[in-house]
Amino acid sequence: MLSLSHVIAANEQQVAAKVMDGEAILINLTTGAYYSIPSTGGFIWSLVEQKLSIDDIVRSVTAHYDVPRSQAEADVLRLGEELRAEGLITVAPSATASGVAPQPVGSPLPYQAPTLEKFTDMAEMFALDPPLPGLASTPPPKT
Amino acid sequence: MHSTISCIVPVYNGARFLGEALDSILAQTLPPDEIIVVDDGSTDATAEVAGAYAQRVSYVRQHNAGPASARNTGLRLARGDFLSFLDADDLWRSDKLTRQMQALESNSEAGICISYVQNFWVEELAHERERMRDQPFAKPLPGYVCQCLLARRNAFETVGNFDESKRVSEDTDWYLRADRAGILRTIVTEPLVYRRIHERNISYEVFQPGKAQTDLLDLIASNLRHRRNQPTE
Repeated sequence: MLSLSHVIAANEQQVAAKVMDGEAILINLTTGAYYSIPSTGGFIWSLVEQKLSIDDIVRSVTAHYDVPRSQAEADVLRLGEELRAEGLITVAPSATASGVAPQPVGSPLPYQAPTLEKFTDMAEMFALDPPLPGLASTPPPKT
Repeated sequence: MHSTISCIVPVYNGARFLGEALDSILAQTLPPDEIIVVDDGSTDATAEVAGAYAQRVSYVRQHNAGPASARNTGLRLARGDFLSFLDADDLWRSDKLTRQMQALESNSEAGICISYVQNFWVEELAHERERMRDQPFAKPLPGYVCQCLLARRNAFETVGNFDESKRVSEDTDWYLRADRAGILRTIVTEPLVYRRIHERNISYEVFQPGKAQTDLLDLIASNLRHRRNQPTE
C-alpha cells in the first residue's frame, strides 16, 4: 500500500505521456493501452513527473485547489494505486523531505476528484505501427 | 472491363531486400498492372536493383523526405482502380492480391481490405526471434500497415494521402482517418504479408522520448477527441 512518504515517478521505461490542455494523456508502450487523466488529475500527473513524495503532491494540490487535505490525501493515494496497478509509475519506498514548497496561488481552483480512464481500442493497431513488440495480448479482430 | 491494380514500393537504402520484394509482387497469381518504385533519396545500390526490373517496374527518385512522402509520390503517379503498397524489405504471399480482390468484389460496401501479417526475423536477429517466440508479435497479427492494404481508389480520394509530418504511425493515422470518414473495411484473417524485422527497424525509437513519442500521443489525443464527439451507443 502506498503511504504519504512514498516517492512516485512516471515509469519512463514503458510509458510516454503528455499534458495537453490540462489533461494528461499516457500510453503504456508494453500493452498498447492508453489513458486519460483529466482536470485536477492532469495537474497531479504533472507533479508525478517531477518525482515527488505523495505528501509533497498532496500539499501542492491543496495549495492550488479548493479541497480539504483529507480528501486530497485519499484521492492522491487512490490515483497512485491505480497508476501503479497499470504499470504507469515507479514507487520508491521513502523520501527525505523534498524541500519543494508549493507555490501559493491567488484564489484556489475548483477541484475535481482525479480519475484514470483506460482505453484499449487502438492496441491492435499499435502492435505494428509503431511496433510495440511486448504487447501482452492482441484483441480479436474487428469485422 | 478488367479492374487495374497499382502497387507502390517506397524504398530508402533498401537494395539488400528490394529484389525479393519485387519478385514477390511479380509472382502474384493476380499480378498488379503497374508497379512503381519510389526511391526516397537512397545512397546505396537501390537504383541498380530497381534497374534490373526496368521492363516491368517504373522507377522514380525523389530527395529524401520519409516513407509517407514516398508513398504519396507513388499515389500521385498511380493510375490503378485499386491501390496497394509493399515496403522494400517485406514480402507478399503469392495469393495476396487475388484473395484481397475476391474479398472486395464480394463486399461492394467495403472501401478497403486488410490482411493479417506475419513478422519474420533476419538471421542476424535469431536471438530476437527466440525471445519473441511465444509473444503475439511472433504470431499473425491484423495488418494495420500499408503493405497489408488493398484500397479502392475512391477510398484515398475520400480519406486523403498520408500525413508527411508524422515520424511514426502514419499508417495508423491513415486507418483512423479512414474509420472517421466512414470507409468500411473487410479483413482477410490469413497472413498474406510477411514483414521482415531487421536491424534498421528494430530500434523501436518510440521507446525513446522525442518526436516519435510526441506524434504517438498526438494521435491518441486526436482519437480521444473523436470518441468524445461521437454519440454514445
